Order: sequence, then C-alpha cells, then structure tokens
Amino acid sequence: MKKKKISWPFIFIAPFFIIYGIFNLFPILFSFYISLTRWQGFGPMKFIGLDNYIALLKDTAFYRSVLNSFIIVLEAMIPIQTLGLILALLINYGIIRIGKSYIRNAMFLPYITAPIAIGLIFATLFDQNFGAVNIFLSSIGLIDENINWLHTASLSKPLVALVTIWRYVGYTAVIYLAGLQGISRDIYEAARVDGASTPKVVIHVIIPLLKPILVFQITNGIIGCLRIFEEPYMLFGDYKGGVDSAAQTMNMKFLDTAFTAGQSGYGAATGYLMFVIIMVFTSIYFAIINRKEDAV
Amino acid sequence: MTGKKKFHPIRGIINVFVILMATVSIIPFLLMFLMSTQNNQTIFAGNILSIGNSLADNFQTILDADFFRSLLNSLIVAVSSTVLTVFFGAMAGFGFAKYNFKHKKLVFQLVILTMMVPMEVGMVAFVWEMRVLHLSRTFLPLILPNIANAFGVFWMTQYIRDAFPYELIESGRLDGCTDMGIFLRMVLPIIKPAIFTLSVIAFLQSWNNYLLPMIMINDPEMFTVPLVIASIGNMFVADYGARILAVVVGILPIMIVFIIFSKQITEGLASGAVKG
Repeated sequence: MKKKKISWPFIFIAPFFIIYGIFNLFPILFSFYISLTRWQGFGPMKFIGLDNYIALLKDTAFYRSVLNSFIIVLEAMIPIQTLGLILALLINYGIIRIGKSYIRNAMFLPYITAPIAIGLIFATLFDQNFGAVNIFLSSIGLIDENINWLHTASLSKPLVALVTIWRYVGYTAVIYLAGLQGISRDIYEAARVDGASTPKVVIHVIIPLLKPILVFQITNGIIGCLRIFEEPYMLFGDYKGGVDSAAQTMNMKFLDTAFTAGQSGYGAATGYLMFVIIMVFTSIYFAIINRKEDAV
Repeated sequence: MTGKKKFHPIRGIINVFVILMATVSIIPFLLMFLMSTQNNQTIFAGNILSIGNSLADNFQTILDADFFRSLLNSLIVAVSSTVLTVFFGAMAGFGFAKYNFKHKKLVFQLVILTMMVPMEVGMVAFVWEMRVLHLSRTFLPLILPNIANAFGVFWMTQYIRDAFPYELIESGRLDGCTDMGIFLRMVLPIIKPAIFTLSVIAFLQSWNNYLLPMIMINDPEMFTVPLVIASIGNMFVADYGARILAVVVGILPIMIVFIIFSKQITEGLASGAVKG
C-alpha cells in the first residue's frame, strides 16, 4: 500500500498549478523581465536594468494616480463598510421586517452588473444636458443651471467613489449578514439578559466576533478599490481620468502606459509597482489572519 | 421570539428608509429600461420618465449593427470558461479535501495566494505569450487564464470536505474504480449544488470581464459584450436610445439569471467570503 504507483492527489491538483503556471505565473515573471527593458510591445527588447523604475519614481503622474486611488479608496470604503454593516445588523436583529428579500436582491443587483456597463449607465445619468440627475435636481429647484458633472475636476473622484459605493454596499451587507447569521443568537440574548443595551451588545460583543470577516472585507475591498478602472474609464472617456487627470487611478495609469502609449517596458514596471502596493495590503491581511491562527 | 414585539414607529421609519435605499440601487436600471424605448428627441427633451415608442426602431438598429454577434461571442467564452473552471476546481478541491500528502497546508495556501495577485501584473507578457503561441486570433486568451480559479478550488474543497464521506471512496475502490472514476462517477453527482453555484459565479466573472478582451481582441467580429459597450459611442454615433438598448440587452442575461437564482448566488458568494 505504501508504494502506490499513481499519486492521485497529485493528478487532481496538478492541473490547477500547470494552468496557473503557464497562463498566469509565467506572464507575471516575464513581465518583470520586460519591466527591465525598453520595448515597444513588438520588435526587440533592450535590457536597460532599473531605468524604468527610476523613471517611474520621478514620474509625478504616477504619484498622482496612486494618490487618486487612495483618495477614492477612502471616499468609497468608509461609507461602504459602515452602511453595509449597519444594514446587516438592522436585518439580522429584526429591525427590518418588511421587504427583506426585496432589499437583499435589489441591493445585490449592481454588484453582478458588468463594471463597464455601470460606467456607461452613470455617464448617461450624469450627462450635463440630458442626464437624469440634472433633470431631477432642476425639477425640484435645487439648481438653476445644469452641472457639468463629468468635466469638473473637483467632482471626478467623488463621482467614482459614489458609483463604487452604489455598486458595493449591498454586496457588503450580504456578506456581513452571512457572518452575523453564523454568530449564535444565544450570545446576543445572553448579553441582553445581563442588562446591556442593544448598541452596547453590538459594539462590545458582536463586532469583535465579526472581526475575521471585517478584516477580510476591508482588505479585500481596499484591494478591489485600488484596481478600479472600468467605471472612471467610461465616465470620463479615456484612461487619463477626466479633467486634470483628477480621477486617473493607478490601474488606469498602468493601462494607459502599457497598452495605449506603446511603452510596454515602462508599463510593465508601472504594473509591478502597483502590484507591490497591493501586496502590502495582502500581507497585512495574512499577518492578521495568521496571528489569529497562532492564538487558537 | 421576536415576532410578537409591539410596533415601534422608529423601527417602521428605519424599515421604510432602507426599502427606499434599496430602491436607489435599481433606479439607474429602471431609467435605462425607459431610455432604451426612447429616441433622441425624447431623450434630449428630458422626458426621462416616459415610455417611448422607439423600442422596435432601436432594436432594429442594434440588430443591423450585428450586436447579437457579441452576445454569442460572450456566451461561447463564458460557457467554456465556466465548464473548465468548475471541472478543474472540483478536481483540485477533491484532491485537497479527501487526501493527505506532504506540505498539503502549504500547497493550499499557495492556491489562496494566487487569489491575491492581481492579473494586471502579468498582462504585458501575457499579450506577448499569446502572440508567440499563435492564440491571439482565438477566444482562448479569454478562457485559459480564468481556468486556474483559486476561489473555485477553495469553494470546492470546503464543500467536498463536508459533503462527501470518505467511506464512499473506500467502497468505490472495492468496486474496482480508479480514483479518477470515483471522482467522475461519484463525487461530481454528489456535489451538484456546489457545481451549480460555482458555475453561476464563474459565468458572471467571465461575462463581465473587460480587461482581457480589451487587450486581446482587435477584430470587431470577435468583440464580447463589454467591448461593445465600451465602444458603443462609435457604433451608434448619434443614437442614444439604441446605445442604451444595447447596454440593456448586454446586462439582461445576467440579471435574469440572478433574479431566478438570487438565493443561491448571494448565499454562495457570501459563504465563500465568510469562510475565507
């Protein structure tokens, strides 16, 4: 029995790693090599060492795109997580009794819709001349003149954040709700019997129990948010991020250099720096999760 | 227990408020449905809340623009991705759930790690690789990288661990089945619910994907739905109703699937995230 000829777990698991290796890992590694070359996307690659990275670290447009991404993350993530958690609490603890499945399904719909379509839908809604938002605002008398939402630099980032919030609140609520349902009701009842008020029970008992999901949601949300590009691309029409590049995210800067401008080496380097920034958050997540495992 | 508590007006107000908030989630879609029935005149006049009479005209416009080819392209890509993702995901999941081998925990963590690496990092070389392999003019570049789906492996491992008793493997072996035979004939039928949920999720991801087709597909005949939506301004230059109808038709299949299977989809996605 010990000298098995066929290693079945190997046969079952190897295809995943083979496919990942050929179509994901190899391109990732080879992109690093490309990031060390000067290359137009075709023709010969000229090895130039770290020149692309040095140029990138002097590229103010790159810093701006990183900053833009983080501002959008902040503007979007705080409302998403707070609203999502509050909604989940309201549903789980019986405050919301009517229309539960309507609420869940309606709020989940934006999440399953293609981001590229969402971008176009909001570009239509926020159009200066015939967009529903301006029509609505002027019909209730809030504005006299139509607002040029899509071509005002100060509005670009909040607009992207708004679309992101609209897309993710329902999804986040559903995830938190699943987490809350995994917490025994007895814990809540017991704390209530001990005389604690509902908000106190939630803050001191329920939220600490929810911590693994909170950590996952927040890091995953940040990573997802840092990668946004379809919505601003459709809202503002190009990878520059609208007026003054005010909404050019990291990912848009990457796609702009790597595939539009024909500077593939430089683009690959941009992609790698973006990767490093994202990996910082991934490692924070793993650090927190593994610390928890050690404690158990 | 909570059913017979007395009515709180504040709770009622909160309830109504949340229902209104949920409605905000679907208002953009409803407005798009209305716009897709209108023509330019109605749209520019700002009669956004009226049902127009141009649905048939708009439909004819997108029919003439060969929009439905992109639906077919998306369907081919999404179905192939889904079948392969689910098959290889279930296979790896079975391997992790029911076998013990050296460094199993480490290998599993490697799978999870692949979930965290953004696909964008490798894109520049991926385009080159596909060109060298002469796959650029096929749909394969849109399908192959998605097959190694770490979430699928993770999801299947969890499910098979709970749903498939080890004794069944033993009895299968006694009947002379190879382990592959056991997987194909015994495991797959038992894990149908997990297959279904993962299929829907994989289909969704593939259907909505814009990044891969954007960098890989140049030939308009091979455009998938997101590509068409992205270039819709060039397709129907001065016809907003037709533009919006194309978007509506492009997102409708997913919406219908979601409305029918909303419970499985939300619960599937939620439990995946919660267990993670």
